[in-house]
Amino acid sequence: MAKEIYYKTIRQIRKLLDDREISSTELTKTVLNRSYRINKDINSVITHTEDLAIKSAEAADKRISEGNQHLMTGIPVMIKDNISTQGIETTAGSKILAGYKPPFDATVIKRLKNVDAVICGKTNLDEFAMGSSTENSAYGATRNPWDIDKVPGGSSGGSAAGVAAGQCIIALGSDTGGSIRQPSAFCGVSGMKPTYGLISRYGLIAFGSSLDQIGPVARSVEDCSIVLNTISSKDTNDATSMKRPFENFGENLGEHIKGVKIGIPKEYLVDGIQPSIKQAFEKSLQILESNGADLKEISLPLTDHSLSVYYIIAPSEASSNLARYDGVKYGISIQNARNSVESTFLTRGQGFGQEVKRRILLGTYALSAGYYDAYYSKAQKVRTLIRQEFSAAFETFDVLVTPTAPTTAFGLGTKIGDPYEMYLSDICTIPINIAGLPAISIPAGLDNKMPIGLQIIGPQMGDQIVLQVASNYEKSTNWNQKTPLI
Amino acid sequence: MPILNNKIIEQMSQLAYLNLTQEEIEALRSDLENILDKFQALSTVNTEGISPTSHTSDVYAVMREDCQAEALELNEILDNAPTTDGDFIKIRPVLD
Repeated sequence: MAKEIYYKTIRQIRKLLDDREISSTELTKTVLNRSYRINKDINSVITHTEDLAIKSAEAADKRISEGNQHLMTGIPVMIKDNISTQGIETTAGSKILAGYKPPFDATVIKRLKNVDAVICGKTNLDEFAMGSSTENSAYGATRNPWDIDKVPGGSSGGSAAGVAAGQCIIALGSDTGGSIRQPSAFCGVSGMKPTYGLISRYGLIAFGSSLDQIGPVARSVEDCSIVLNTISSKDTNDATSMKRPFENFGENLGEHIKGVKIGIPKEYLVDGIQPSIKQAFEKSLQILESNGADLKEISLPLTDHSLSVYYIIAPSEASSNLARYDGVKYGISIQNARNSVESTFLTRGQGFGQEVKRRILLGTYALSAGYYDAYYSKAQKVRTLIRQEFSAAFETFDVLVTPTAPTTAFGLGTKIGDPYEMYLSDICTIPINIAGLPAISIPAGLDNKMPIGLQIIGPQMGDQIVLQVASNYEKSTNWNQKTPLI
Repeated sequence: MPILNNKIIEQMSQLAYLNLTQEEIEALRSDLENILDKFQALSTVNTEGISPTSHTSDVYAVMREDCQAEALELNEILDNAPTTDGDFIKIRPVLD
């Protein structure tokens, strides 16, 4: 296989490492060199963690020589910069956290370190994961490696662009309303949001706690399942975490999909959807059908209300979660103030960017006396109805399939001035977080050299069937093997 | 269309401890007005007798053992604080 090593999958690299054709240290240096070079063009990484990476790679090489390696031992990974890494600056893409070095590791980081995975860097994101384009970062916008005049999607744009450009083999992202899946679609990689509760959120800098979930960005469906097996755990530090009811996320990879019932919710083919997305989607349906799946259109009429429900609940939770940034404990602090309260007002005024301020105010408004019933309480009740609508659909269907986003990656600066227009780019991914379901985006076409994503949604704890259908589709196409010319 | 004026934005910014410039207040008022207007359609959904969902994992009132656990390193915490005095984090005066 002629493909450069930084474009290989975990499984392919595992073999090279185990056969001693390359050491993890050599691999890590190659990947880091690639990343430094690419980063000048796309700004997908905020911090490279070279010292930690080399040390981890050496530990991995020792472990491999002792023969007790794990699938992820020695594999170069990158981490979205809203996931806490002990002693390594973790900014969440915000100026307010500049210089903050967490005194602890997130649970997912501990689990990666346990198997000697090699953490090479912290990836760029929209500030506090609020955005759909990675333009809202205080550390500069990330660019799409397929076309640097376009956005990579967001908020895990750095993770998706980094995997797409060969700056790491896999990356972790976080997904509150599509923040793993939409950038994965825009960058031509695979990204999964597992069932809410299967990955501990301890150490993930909180945005919308009832919606946030950590997940993988990778080059193949199998790699997604390997990462999920590594990081998923019940954790006493996250009261909403749950033990997974199955051993292996990838148990059914490679199995056929004959007789699998797939629902096509018609509301996801929204007005204004890019024609090429619709065409690629129809082609994907033909592939699934010819592989033996049983396809049928369904209607989920509450889909239209999902965006409103999300943009009330997520900012409400954010306005509460972000109350902790007071300029006292970490990050920047404006000291030129008469008293402590004024210092907090000024620190927050200068430390937060526009989109974060917008959402804090929106959330404060929705939670305030007089508006609570009309907005927050109403949204939570409609959330119940949306969950029920999905539950009813999964009585008939094994999975649902939709486009991941209504467009391919848009131009830098084209939507940043209109917040609502930007919110609409998550229209196909948001309902899944509202209901806490698992969903993956996988590469499913190219339009004018820009990637298109296919979303597969499962019932709660149906992560295995999502991965099974995704893997079956992936094997029938070669979209996941396309790489950008960068 | 929900009526938002600059005074409401200022009240919200006081509740959220968020210092805003006049230009920011103007811009945020117009953005939020536009966004809230789109939310109006929610009122057409019948939610009579429906309980709210606050989260989707089926776990409630999780208890854990009452036992000693490792604490974070004091120095690593203090190193992050903008101003310190010995083993304490120092803040601006609380009273004028």
